Amino acid sequence: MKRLGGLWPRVVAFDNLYLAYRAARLGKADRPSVGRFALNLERELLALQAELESGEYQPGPYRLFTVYERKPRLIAAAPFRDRVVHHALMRVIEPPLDRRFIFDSYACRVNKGVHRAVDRYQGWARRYPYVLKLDVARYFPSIDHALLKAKLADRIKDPRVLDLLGRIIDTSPPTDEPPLWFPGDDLLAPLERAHGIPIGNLTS
Amino acid sequence: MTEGTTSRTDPTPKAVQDCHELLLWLIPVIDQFPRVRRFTLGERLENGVLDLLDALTSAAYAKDKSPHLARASQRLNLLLHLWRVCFELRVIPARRYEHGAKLLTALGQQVGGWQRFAARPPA
Repeated sequence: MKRLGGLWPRVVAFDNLYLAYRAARLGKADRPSVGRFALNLERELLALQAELESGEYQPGPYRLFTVYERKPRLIAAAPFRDRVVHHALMRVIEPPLDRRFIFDSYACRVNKGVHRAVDRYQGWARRYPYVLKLDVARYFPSIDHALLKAKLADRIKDPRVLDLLGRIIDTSPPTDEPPLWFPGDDLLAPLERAHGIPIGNLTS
Repeated sequence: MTEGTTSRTDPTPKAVQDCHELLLWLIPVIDQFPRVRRFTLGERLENGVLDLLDALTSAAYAKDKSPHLARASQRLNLLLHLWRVCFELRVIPARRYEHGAKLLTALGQQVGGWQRFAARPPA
C-alpha cells in the first residue's frame, strides 16, 4: 500500500496551526487556559511552530481525572497548547487515514458514532438469526505502543510526522493495567512493553 | 523568548531599524485596506507603529530607557491584537497575517532583550 509522505510542511504551516487553534478552542473558549493562550496567540503559535520545526517540542503533563459514567474511567486532558498540536496533526493525517477504515467502524469518526452504529446494528439484527456480542476489555489502556507505532509507519512515510506521533504516544500517562502475558513471553516481557494511550486525546 | 541570546550585546540599532522596515512594509498594505477599515483599523495600526517608532527612538537617545521601552512593548501587544482583528475580519489574507505577526513578534523579542540589557547594572 502507498504510504503517505510530504505531510510535515502542511502540519507546521502557520495557517494550519491557526485553524487548529480555532478547532481546539471550539466549545472551550471560556476556559482560563484558552484565554491565556489567545492573549498572546501570535507569539504562542510562532513559538510552537519554531519548536516543532527544530524538533524541540515536547508534550506537557496531562491532567488526570476519573469519570464515573457507567463505569470508572481515567481521563487524561492534555494542556491547551498540546491540544492545538493534536488538531494540527489530525487536520492533515485524519482524512487520508479515515478513508482506509472499513465503513462499519463507528468510533470517534466524523459522521459516525453510537447512534448510527445502533441503527446499522438494528438493520443487521433483523436480517440474521444470531448476534455475536463482544467487547474488548480495557481497550485503550492496553494498546501496545510499539505495535501502534509500527501500524502508523505502515500508513505514513513522513519521518517527522512519525516522530511527532511517537512523542505523543510516548508521553501517555502510565496505566494501572495488570500485565498481560502472551504465549512465548518470559516473566518480565509485559512490563517492558509500554502500553496504553490516553482516553480524552484527539489523537487516540 | 530565549534568555541570554539577545541580552549580551546592545540591540539598540536593530530594533529601531526593524521598526522602520516594518513601517515601510505596513503602510502600503494599509493603503490597500477597504475604505470602511482604512480610517478605523488601518488608522489605528498606522498610528500604533508610528508611536512604536517614537518610543524606540526616544529610548535610543534617552538616559533612562525603561519607560520608553515599556511603552514600546505595550504598543506591540496592542498592535498584535489589532493585526489579528484585521485577519479575522478578512481584511488581510492568512499569508500576510503570518508575515506581519512574525515581524511584530520578532520586534517584541528585540524590545524584550533591550529591556533586559537596559535593566542590567552597568559593568
